[in-house]
Amino acid sequence: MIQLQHIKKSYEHHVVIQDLSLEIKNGELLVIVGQSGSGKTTLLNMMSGIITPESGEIFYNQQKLTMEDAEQLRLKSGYVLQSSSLFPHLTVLENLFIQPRARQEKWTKEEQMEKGKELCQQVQLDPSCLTQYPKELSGGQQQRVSIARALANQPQFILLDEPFSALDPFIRKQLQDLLLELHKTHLDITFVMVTHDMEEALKLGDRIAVLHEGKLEQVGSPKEIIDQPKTAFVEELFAGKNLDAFWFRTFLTTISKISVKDEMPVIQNFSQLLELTKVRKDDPILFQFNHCGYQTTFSAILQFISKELRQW
Amino acid sequence: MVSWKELWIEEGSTWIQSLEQHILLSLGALLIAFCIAFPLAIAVRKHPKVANIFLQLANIVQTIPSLAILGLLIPLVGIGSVPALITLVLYAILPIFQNTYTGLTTIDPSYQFTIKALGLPSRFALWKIELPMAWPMVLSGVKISLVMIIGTATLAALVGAGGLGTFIVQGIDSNNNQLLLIGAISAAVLALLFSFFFSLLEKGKKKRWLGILGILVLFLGSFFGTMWQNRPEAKEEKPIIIAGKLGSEPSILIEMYKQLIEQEDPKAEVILKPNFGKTMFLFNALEKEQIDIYPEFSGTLLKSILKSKEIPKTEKETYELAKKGVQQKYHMDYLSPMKYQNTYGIAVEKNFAKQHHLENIGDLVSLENQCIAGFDSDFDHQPDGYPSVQKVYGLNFPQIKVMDPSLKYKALINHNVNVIDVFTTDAWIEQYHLAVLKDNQHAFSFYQGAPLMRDDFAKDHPKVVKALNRLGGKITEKEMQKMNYQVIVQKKDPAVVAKNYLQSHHLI
Repeated sequence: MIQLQHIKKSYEHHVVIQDLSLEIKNGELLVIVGQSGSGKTTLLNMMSGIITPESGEIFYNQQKLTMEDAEQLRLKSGYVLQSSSLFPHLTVLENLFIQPRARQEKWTKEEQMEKGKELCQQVQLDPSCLTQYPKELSGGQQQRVSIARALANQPQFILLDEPFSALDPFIRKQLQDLLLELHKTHLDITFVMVTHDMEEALKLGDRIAVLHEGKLEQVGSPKEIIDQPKTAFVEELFAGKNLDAFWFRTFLTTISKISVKDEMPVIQNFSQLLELTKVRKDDPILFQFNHCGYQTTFSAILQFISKELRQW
Repeated sequence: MVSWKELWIEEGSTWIQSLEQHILLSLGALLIAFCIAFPLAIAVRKHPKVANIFLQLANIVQTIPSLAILGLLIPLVGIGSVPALITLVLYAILPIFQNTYTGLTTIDPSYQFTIKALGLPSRFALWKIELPMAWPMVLSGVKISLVMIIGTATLAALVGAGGLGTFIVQGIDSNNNQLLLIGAISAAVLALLFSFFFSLLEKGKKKRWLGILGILVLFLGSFFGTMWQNRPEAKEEKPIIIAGKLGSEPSILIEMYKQLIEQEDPKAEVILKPNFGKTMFLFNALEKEQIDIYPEFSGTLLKSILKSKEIPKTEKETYELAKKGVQQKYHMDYLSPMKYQNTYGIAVEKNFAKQHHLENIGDLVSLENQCIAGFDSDFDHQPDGYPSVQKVYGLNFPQIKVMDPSLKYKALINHNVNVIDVFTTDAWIEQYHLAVLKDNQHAFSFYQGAPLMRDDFAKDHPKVVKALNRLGGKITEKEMQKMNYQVIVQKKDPAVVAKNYLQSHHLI
């Protein structure tokens, strides 16, 4: 659990963050969203101890964060940056293990290779890239490596600073899906992500913190943000953002992963569908059902499956 | 001119030795410079103000001519490998420091941020990330330094540290372009080879680097090993160290000194250091008790050391003034001078002299319109050169060709010119059968050679003084020309030439 209490920060009389308090629950994916200049990156850097707040305190699992242990904390956490954060003179495998190495953990070459392959699988990368250098990879692949590097550290917290904004829309969507997938499979990891993309925030966040001029306008689930915007700013920011459309897309992506092998499963009820798609009960995807209603969704699923069946 | 093959037979072993000295000196200096500059750059990489001060300092050092640094160092650390090494190290520091510093501080800020964001400890980040990323820059700095050191190391010959510069300095002094070329080309090729070698390494992997480090350490080890072996041993009877300037003539003279001393005192141990540099280096070495004796000219002492404004009328007066001067100012003893003078002279071909009945310089006045003179540039414009001849004899050649010393003799033999300037003991006077016209009205200064030593040394070594004084009034210009000819042209060993002279004159 990360708690920020009355955090304040200003640069040369310009207040960047003013009296901000926020609590991030263990295992959740919190998205901090805001326009450029809203102070979201400053907030993230304070959370990781790279920047010291002027006043206020930060607690990690009830322990107060000091400058001394901030570096130790970062060394044990994951950090995904916008781009070019992989060291060019190291292979992908060496990049993956940079933090464990800095912690003087003993890994044999074989162990590293094995773990590397496992990580590749998790982030959907071809294991052959482990021996390559970052410049030999595409931007999307590099970001997958960045994410894998965070996972390799077996962290409790992963901080992501605009991780997908430098990617083209198609790749960005793939990586968003990947992140959702990882969130689902790594329940013990707390993700804090910063983005300026509202749709991304709605799609990924368990909760969204809307930051505006150094102040939190609202913190809540995507549904709350859309349905009950607390301020005019939030309402305006998310105006016209249709939850349905991308929930639907996400859902289709999810069910497309149902293995279509010897036998096409017959889906009779909703809970069976959830089982097949391995969707958790508290998965944000379920907002969709509240939002769009069962009828529409279910018929859409059936349509999709029949289409798949025909192809099959 | 001898053929290159003969030259190789004559000078081959010297060349290999000089090459070895050159490489050892260069690599030693490089390693020391690296050991200073590299950690320093790392230490100040986060303190731009301090780094700037160091950069400025290194820049200032870089602008001082290396010769000047050598000169400044001699009173402090004496002569030999030490001042040469210090000079080279001073020069090599800047490129290594600058490139390491720049390499470390110009790493893309996004990587710097990543290092922070991942919480990598600074020491780990330095060795595993920052330095490897800066490595190409560091290497190119080392390369620049190495090439520069190899070039500058030719100056080491001036302070008795040997190296390929020995050939260059000897070549200039003895007017031998072949020697000069050997030195210059060897140094250039060596620099290119090392540079090429380094380019290979830049692409190399860590293992190769460890290999190189090993080789460097080995080299340095052997370097200091030799220095340790050659250190002056603490004996009860200290050996007598006699040094001579660059060239054949001082080498012959110090051989004579040695043989005379050993005859007088068979127990004395005499160490010779021929080709040990130029006037100031030797004089300083004598003052600092690094050497005990060296042959010096009266005119040089008067002008270069004592900076006397007086213009003595006779050779005796010159000698007396020099003797008194060094005695009072430096507490040195200047023993009896030899007969010959090594001063400027004006020479013509013997046949030409006979034909026109030339004996004295003044005899040329009536012929001046038929003469073309070939002078080297120093002689042409230095006050004690041609201008003095003009003043004293009223001689004005309508046509003067200023040329390189090495071309003068050729030009005379080929009748392109018919009057040239010479030094009165030049070997070529003998070789080309020239006549040196008498300077009966003393247009040129007096340069008489005699052994110079500290007076406490003279007091402690009466036998040495006695032995060396036997050379007083001996050796004529003709005899010296002949001996120089034997050493330079006929490639005889100076020791043998010296012995022949001493024996034939019943001095030993």
